Amino acid sequence: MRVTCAVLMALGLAPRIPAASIPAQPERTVHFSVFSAIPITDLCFLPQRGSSPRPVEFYPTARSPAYEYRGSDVLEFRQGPATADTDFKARALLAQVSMPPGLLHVLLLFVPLVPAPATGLRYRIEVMDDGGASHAAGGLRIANFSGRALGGTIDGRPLVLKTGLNPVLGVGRSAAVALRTPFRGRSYPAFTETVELAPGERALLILFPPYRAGSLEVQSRLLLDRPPSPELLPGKR
Amino acid sequence: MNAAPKPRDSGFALIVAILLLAFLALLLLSLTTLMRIDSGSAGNLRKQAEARQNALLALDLAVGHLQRTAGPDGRVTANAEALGLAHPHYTGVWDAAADSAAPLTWLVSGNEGRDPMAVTPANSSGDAVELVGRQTSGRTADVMVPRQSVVDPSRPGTSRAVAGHYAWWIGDQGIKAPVALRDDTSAIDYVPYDSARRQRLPGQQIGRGPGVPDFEVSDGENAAKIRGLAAFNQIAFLRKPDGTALGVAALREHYHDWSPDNLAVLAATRPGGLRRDLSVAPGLLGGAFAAWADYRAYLEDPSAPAPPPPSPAYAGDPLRRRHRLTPPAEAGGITHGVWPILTYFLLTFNVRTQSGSSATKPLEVRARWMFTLWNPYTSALVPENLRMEITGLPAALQVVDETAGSVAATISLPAAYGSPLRISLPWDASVPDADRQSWLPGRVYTWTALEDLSGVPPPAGRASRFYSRNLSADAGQGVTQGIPGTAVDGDHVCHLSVTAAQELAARLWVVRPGGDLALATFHSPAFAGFTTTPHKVSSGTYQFSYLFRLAESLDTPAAPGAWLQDSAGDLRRSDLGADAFVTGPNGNRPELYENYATISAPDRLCDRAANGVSYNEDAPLFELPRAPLLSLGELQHLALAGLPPFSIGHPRSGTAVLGGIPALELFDRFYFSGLAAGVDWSPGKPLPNPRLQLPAHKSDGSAVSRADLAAADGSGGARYLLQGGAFNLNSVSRDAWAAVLRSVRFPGTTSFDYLDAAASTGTGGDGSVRVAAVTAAQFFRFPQSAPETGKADDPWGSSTYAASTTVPPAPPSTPSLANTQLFRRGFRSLSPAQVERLAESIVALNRERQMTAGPWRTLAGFLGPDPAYADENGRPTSLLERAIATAGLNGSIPEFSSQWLTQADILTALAPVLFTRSDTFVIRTYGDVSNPVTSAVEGRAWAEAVVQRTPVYVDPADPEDMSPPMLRPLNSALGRRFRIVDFRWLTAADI
Repeated sequence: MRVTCAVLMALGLAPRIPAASIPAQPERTVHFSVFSAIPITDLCFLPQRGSSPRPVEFYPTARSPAYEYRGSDVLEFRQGPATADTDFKARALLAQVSMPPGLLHVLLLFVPLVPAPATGLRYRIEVMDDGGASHAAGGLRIANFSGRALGGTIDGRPLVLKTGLNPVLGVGRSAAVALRTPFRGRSYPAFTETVELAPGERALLILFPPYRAGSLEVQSRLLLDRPPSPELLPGKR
Repeated sequence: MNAAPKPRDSGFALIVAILLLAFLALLLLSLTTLMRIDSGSAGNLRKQAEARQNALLALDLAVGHLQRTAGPDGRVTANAEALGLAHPHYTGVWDAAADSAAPLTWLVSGNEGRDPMAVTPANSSGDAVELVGRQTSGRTADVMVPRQSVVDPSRPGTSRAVAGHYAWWIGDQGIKAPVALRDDTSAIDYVPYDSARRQRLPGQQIGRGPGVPDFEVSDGENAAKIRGLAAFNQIAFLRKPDGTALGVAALREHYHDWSPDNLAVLAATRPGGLRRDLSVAPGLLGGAFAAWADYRAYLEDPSAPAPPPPSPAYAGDPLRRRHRLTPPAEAGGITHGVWPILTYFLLTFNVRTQSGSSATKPLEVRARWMFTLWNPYTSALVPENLRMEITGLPAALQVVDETAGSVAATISLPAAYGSPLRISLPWDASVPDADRQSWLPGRVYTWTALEDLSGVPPPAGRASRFYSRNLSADAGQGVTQGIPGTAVDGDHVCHLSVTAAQELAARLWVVRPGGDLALATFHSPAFAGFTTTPHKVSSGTYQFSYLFRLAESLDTPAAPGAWLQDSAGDLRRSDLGADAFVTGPNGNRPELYENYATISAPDRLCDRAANGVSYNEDAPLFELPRAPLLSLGELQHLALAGLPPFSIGHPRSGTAVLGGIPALELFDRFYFSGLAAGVDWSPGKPLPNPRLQLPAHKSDGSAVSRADLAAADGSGGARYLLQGGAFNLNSVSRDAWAAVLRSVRFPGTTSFDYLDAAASTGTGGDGSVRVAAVTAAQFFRFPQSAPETGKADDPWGSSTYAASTTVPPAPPSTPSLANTQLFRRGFRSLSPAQVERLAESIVALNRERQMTAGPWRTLAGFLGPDPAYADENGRPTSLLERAIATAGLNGSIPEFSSQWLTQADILTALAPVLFTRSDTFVIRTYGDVSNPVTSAVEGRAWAEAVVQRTPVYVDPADPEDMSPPMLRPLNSALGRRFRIVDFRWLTAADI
């Protein structure tokens, strides 16, 4: 298990552990931002014990502002406007995640559960190590959550994606990414885009399942940002 | 004295007397014998004459029975072969108004009496006589019919009253393939067929008539023999491919499959009445159809090309043609017009402070765009300047200042850019490249925004750059429009928000000196309200975009053949709805297309690389007439309201109604003579549809004139014309069907040549042609224009050349899945084995049908959807569609293209000659005479006649074009007159 966790962490993709199975642990501090293929509204979290709930803001084509969280390893996201007069625990729990140890900067990727449950959790959360050490400027990281096997070229070089988070590719300022997916013995275009990076920027390309039923063209979100400085505690943008 | 001996002369006299007596006896005997011989001969001749009289009696009875039962229009015929009974070659007659499997009668002796079903293929037995036997069909007792007694009431006694017998059988010629049709197309040399190239058009549109592997009628020697061919037996003298004569054995083998020719009255079986000629009266289907069919109104005259003239220039007998952009005309459920179709739409916006200043400045909006338009036709278009007018942009775009926590501005894009947003799409022919002098068939062209910082909208519309796909490079800083009354700190973080859904409409205009004309409107998918990602408001990021493409087969990879078949409507609708388009890959949220500029999609049909000029890039779909229509099957290229393309002639047309006429009934009620306006036909020449036969003269002895045929209501022609090469689709002869399916072919003496387009231009000179490989049968999707678009390169492994600058033998330079080659070729070739399989499938299904419901009564029924022929999705198709599927002809064709054979394609070739009944019959009769004492047959006779139904009613007082309800009782009962057109006596050796 330790080996598995180590491998997953090396890839920046930590396993999700049911909250109920996690024993009480000492508080820790994590800086996180969130992203969802479709921005989620009315979601809040408790930055630290005793504080008021804080709304979580999603952006359609970028990471959210960075949030600081102090608490147990289990981070909960509950429904409703962030008003101080409502008990956080009384709100509906929509998502929760167990923060992997050792990570200071993470990106939480919210993925709606399909079909949407009538009650209970509505999202699962993929945790990605978003620190500058794992993903530096000039790097392109591709997260394949499309549900399809994808392969192709990046600047003409062969590229085979595995499901989930893939290793960072050094691309400099620009990279032409062309991905295809097999279907009934043929290879169909799934994604074609040229990623442009400004100096000091890095790119996270997240691939989601096709928008149209029956289509093989995957959705994409390209998140550009500058890696956080290790010594700098991120604040809201 | 002794007396001299007396001479002994009395014996001599006796001898003389005896000799005389003997001579007399001999003379008497001779005379008696002679008299006996003469008497016997006379008796035989008398008996033969009596037998012939009985045979003629049989002929009269047969013709009478045929007239009575098959004379009215509302009758269909077929033989009994499908029923699997003992007498497969009996011909039955069914009532077209009833759906019963039971016929009205069988056309054999014994049924001419009170009971028309006294003799059936199941019960015919007993005293039978052979009328078709080994010498005719190679099979002994092939057609046996009951012998009927000829009773002489003047003779005493019952047995002695039988003076002879007769028998008759009527064979259905229409179910046989007319394999000896002569090719008159060389005589069609009048305008517009006054060139070698245009003379070939009828051969592509409706073919040269059935073909058989045994011989080719168009081969030089055979063509000459066919001209003199007067009887079926003479087909035996035609030459086989190896140069030897066909011979009687082959003829006998195909006696039930082949005929020299079949003629059909141009009449409908239900409700009856003559068909009407859409060539002379296209208005019968409404003004839009008439406009579509009147090709001269929108086809460029090659002798006076509009600017820019095509490159290379037209040759004297051009293969290429250009149509002019034409605004829509809609009537009777038909849309006519010529315009390019929007295939890619990108309109993207940036809201920022003026010039991107970080200081507090007024806001400005920047827009940029890329639009791609596609010529979906197989003809080039005459290029003209266009304009796009866009409506539906948000009127309340909020700029939310997150830094200040307030709404900084609410912008109305229609107010800023005008409503509509007018965008000029100029055609720039200043570059002499061939594809800038003509809008090539099937080719897409893209315009991008041109930088305009003036903020003053030009009257002609915002400028665009022609032939550009590089938005970032060509659009510069975009088209900027200041927003007065606003001021925001450029360092403030803002997002944009639109709460309402948006549906954009892009209306396309052609710009003309005399006034611009609206061509079509394209409706976007609905875009959701959105909130963009926050940025500093000084940022030059294009925050949101409206992006959509024309849906095509690549968007339904699980069912690529569904495109064009299952869509709700035709792409050529003048008001093309959102269902024809798909959003970008991220769906319908404009905020997800930040800084979007991607256009390249090499796997799409309607895409072209920036440097792509090869013909393989182009995907034409629809044909516009460039010559008179000759087949109702060509109407598959009509655009119909609410139906997918290629619907006419296809079962999917279902219950659609065109101009008040059910679409499927078109095939029963109309025909094309080819005598459209501008056709310079004169009597003595074959009609543009060369299988239509004119009578030598009218009843008054005068020749049939153009005026006779050109009655304004289209009813004139069918009064005189007979359709040659007719074929009764109820035939269950595999060989006959196979021959008919080979009607469009290019045997050795003819060829199908097509433009040898260059990969470096996508087009070529009219004199540069290639010759297509010869196959068993061709079915044209583009019967008039395939020579222009036919060149296309086959895939290289799993990649096509659709996005490639290279052509074989080099591999594709850019891999692509786009099967442009399938769309370009314009005709489907079938191998001999495929033709056989299709014929077998048709015949098998025809047999099943006839077993349960009798023969097809109408073409509408034959072509229409029937639950019995449901496809794999449970949708009713038709017999022909099922047969195509059963034969596996489309199994290897991935897309619904010109290579995907449809019923409509088959009808393009065959619609003029397909009927559900026969009007040509062969009658064989028999007569004998009996000895009144011994009852022995003492004389036999056989006769054969060919009878032809004509348009004239039995009582000519009713005009030919009168319909059944109006007819006199006699004509209602007996219908149109049969005439004996050929007669000969047969001997026993002929049977």
